[in-house]
Amino acid sequence: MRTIEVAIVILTITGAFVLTSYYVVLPHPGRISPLNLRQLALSTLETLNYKAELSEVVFSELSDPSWTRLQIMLSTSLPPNIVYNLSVYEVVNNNGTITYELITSLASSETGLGVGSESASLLVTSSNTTFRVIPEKIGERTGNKTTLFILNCEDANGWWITGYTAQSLAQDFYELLSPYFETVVLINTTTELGELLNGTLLPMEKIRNAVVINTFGEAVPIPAGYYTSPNVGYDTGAGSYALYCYRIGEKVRQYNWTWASIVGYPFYYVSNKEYFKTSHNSWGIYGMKHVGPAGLNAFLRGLDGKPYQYDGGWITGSPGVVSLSEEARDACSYYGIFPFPYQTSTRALPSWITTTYNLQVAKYVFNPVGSWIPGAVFRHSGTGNFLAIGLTRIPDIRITAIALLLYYSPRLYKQEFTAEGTQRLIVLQLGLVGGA
Amino acid sequence: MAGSTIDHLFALTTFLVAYLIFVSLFSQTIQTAILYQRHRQLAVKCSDILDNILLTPGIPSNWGETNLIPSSFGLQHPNLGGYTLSPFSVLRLSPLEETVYYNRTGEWYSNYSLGEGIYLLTPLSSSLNYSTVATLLGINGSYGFQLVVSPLINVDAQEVNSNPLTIEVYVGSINGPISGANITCYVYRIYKPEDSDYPAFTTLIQNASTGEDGKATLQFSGVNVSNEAYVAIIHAFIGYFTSVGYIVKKTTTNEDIFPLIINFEERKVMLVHSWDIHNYGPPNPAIFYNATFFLISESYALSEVEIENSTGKVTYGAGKSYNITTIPTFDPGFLIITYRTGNKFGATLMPWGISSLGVSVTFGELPTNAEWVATDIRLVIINGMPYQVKLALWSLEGYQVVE
Repeated sequence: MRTIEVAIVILTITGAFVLTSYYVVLPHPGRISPLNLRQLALSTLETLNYKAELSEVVFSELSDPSWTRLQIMLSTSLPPNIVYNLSVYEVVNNNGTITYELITSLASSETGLGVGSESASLLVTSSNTTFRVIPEKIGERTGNKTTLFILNCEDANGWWITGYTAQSLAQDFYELLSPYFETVVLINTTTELGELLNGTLLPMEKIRNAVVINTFGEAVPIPAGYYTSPNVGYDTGAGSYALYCYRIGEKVRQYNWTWASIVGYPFYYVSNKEYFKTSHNSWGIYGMKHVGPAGLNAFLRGLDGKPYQYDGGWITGSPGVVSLSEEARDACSYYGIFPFPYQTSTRALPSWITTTYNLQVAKYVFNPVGSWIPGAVFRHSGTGNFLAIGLTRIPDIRITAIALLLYYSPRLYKQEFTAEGTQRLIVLQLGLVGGA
Repeated sequence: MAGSTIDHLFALTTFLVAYLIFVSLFSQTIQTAILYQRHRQLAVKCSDILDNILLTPGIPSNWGETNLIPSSFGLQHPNLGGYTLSPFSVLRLSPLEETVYYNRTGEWYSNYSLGEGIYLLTPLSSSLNYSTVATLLGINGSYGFQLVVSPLINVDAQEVNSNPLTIEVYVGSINGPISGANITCYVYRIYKPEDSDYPAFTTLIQNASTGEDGKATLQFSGVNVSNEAYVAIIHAFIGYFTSVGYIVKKTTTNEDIFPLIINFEERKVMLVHSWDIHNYGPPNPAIFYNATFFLISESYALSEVEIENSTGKVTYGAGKSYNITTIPTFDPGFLIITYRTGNKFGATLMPWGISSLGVSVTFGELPTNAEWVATDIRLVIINGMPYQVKLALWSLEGYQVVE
């Protein structure tokens, strides 16, 4: 009796094994260790579209020889055991409903792609499409639209802007930054600069909260007359124009300006071609007067509202190669301005100025190196900002532009105008020879 | 009673035997399924690692242009993104091939052995070796791998006649010959100017197209190179794909100039007498050289760029056995060092950036004794040239489900 029961059990288990073996089918060997055909298809499409050549081909006439070249390149790109089908679809917008109409296909096999193909797609746009980007004007959000003043004084010389003139840099700044400002004013003479400092150049609402870019590098233009007179801009005791730099610091505080120094040691020279026509900066450039480190120290005292005091102590450091901060890199991507992310800094400001002069770092342009700050926007606890890019010459104005955009963060409103037939979808389907 | 006991015993024995047989049968099926799963997991891992390598530039992102060991590994071009690789990061990988020692610097150099007359010798101390890369990828000790970066299009060239100079070029891919490829061939003939000890070269350019067999023949009428050294650089264009091939012919025997990259970040290259590397027997004459850097433009035109210490004389052993020059840029190009000993001439090529001479790089171990090797491939662009990157990956943790 027990033997019969065991026989029944054996029959049951045998049945279970047969059923299990029948239904539990192990995958085809090709499925076990497959090539990632989807990523291969994507990398193939990207390779074919390097420099947007694929986009150009798919918008050409079907009789164009570029289609034949495309097929040759496609066949060249893929291993012989991989079959492909590249299909191009027209993206059609029917009253808001998107449909895809097949235009053509290039295939390597007439027998299909087997049962296990993978695909990747790429949406390309024809050169007939127009993109428009409308930048937000700085200050628009708060109702106080900011004015940009760019120093373009024809009667002053620059230093550490080797290979450029301040005027050419001013023009480049204008082209780069004018979309972001309601009003952009080029200060063409030192006289105009004097009027700006006096607050008489434009209505006060346009002068307050402005950005002033000094394109003269380590030099700063100085208006002759009032600002060169003793005890106004000229420190007779020290025989230095550091007092003029102090006045600028005061004006930055008074008008809540953002003063941008684009390269090197700020306020190291003052320049007025006519007034200093017999002096040179000790390097043979006439029309300039050496101020030295006292200029920056005086500016910072003026910005902080401290009484003027001559201080000729050198305060910058040379941390060497520095890298753009993460925020600055993000800003580069957002605004589409791409300076090289690694630069050499030889005039980085020390971090102790933040406590001495009541400043705080509003935005790091470059990552600090130890106690050195190679590039940052400093915000005074009262009013006024100071952008100091302590890089070595030659200046890359894109760094200053990114720093200002990073600090003010104007938004970009992107609009796309598409006409019918300006977008096509490319689908590359890959399969292994013999199925998957 | 006895019959019942026998019945029980027989039934129990039969049941136990049947049970063991079925356990064995089921376990085999389960083992196979587990192995299948492991293999599939290996394939997925292979794909993931390959994308990690190709779609991240590493940290710092420009490590390929420095002497730094990155804290995160990736070969993507730091500025271009997508499947676009840095032409220099790849060069900082030290291959498994033999290394060479140069006693003047006391350094070992990894030797890519790219072929006769073309060298890429990078210092091991600032190269990334296999275990470092495996550690940075997080697979050290758990997976073995081999990475192969090779041009999609091969350009093979050979001299078929020296008078007049006739060069046969073959353009092909893994799918076979490529017809209709446009060929541009630059030939640099090396000679000694009358007023200088240092060799110079003249340039000849000729164009052709490949036939159905992927071959093209370029004949330079009136050019006799029977006793001349020369370098030929051949660019092939297929649509907007391109690739490079080369020929280096020398009339010297053992004498050669080896370019050792001594500082990647500062782009310093030491030009040394070959005797100090190979230590072959006499004669060991002094070598006069002339080094020229060629920059490759976006349209693949070659433009000559001036370099420091471009001419010099190096001797073997004691004396002035090397000179140092600086590549002026991190834009890809190649260095041609023409040299002369007496009335014999030669040339050495050094690629600056993997794509400039269509160089292939194989990095990693061989999958000897691996039970299962997963492979995956991608297409990438390196300085405008299409390359194929293949990764082979295998597990180092054993594969037996049951020991």
